[in-house]
Amino acid sequence: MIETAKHNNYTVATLLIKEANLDVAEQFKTDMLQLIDKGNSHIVVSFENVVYVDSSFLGALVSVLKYAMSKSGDIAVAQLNKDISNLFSLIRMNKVFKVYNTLPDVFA
Amino acid sequence: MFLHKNQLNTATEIRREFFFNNDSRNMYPLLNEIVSYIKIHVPSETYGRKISNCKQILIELLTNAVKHSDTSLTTITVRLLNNRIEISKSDIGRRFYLADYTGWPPLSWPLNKEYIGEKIRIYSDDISHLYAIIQNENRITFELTEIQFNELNKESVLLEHYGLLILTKLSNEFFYFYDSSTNSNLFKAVISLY
Repeated sequence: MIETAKHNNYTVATLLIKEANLDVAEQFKTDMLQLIDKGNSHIVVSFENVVYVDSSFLGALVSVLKYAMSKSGDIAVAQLNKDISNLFSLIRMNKVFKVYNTLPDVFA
Repeated sequence: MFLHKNQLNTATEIRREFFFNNDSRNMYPLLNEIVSYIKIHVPSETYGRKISNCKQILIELLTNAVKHSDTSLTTITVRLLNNRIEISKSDIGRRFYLADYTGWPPLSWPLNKEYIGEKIRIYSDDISHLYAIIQNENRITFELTEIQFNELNKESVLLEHYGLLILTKLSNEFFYFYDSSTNSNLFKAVISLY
């Protein structure tokens, strides 16, 4: 589901799926909560392989963000395709998550 | 009639039905099939953003079918006419419901006439409020109110349900209709091309 790597001051969680939908939302949430519990408080989720996102996955992403914030962490998203970027802007998820076009040098 | 690739023929109604077996594994191929059909009639060079919205609306309607319809057949209808795209989802499965809703007015189909005009608060968080407005005994329309939102913090209230919100936000009109004569459900999203 996700592949993780350390990148300067944060962890990159690259989604290894094409379809970020209801079939994978719960597993994504479980994997991310475990990652946070292991001390990865600042995580950038890379959507470079993802072709679409549905509301179930978006709900899981917000749930993960709330958990990270409760542990003084943060979640950002990166490498969204045009359609997903359009969705984030329209429903103002770009105000909730930091959105990066490419992986940032530093996640602050 | 010959049309330039960027022109839209709005004089003739174009309509096609697609069938979905409510298996999430078939969502993506069907999504691509429907979007390809729309692109035949709506030039993506000019209407790229509208087509992107249609794609997300389709994703949410198909997701809704898998999660909530409690039946094995959904019909998606795409209709283009008069500079608008209509995307409908119909089935004979579960009627529109809100999980754990015990509020007022009650959501029991057909709705009681005395509730026409009433608003049901569906979701509410620090970013937006989503309402269902009872238009008649068989129809509700959805309305989104966006709230000024400056900074996220630990105390921020954020919902985790976005399906109806996305459908409402990306459509110019989005409603649900229960047809008691056929016991069928219809969600319709209207996207204006203006």
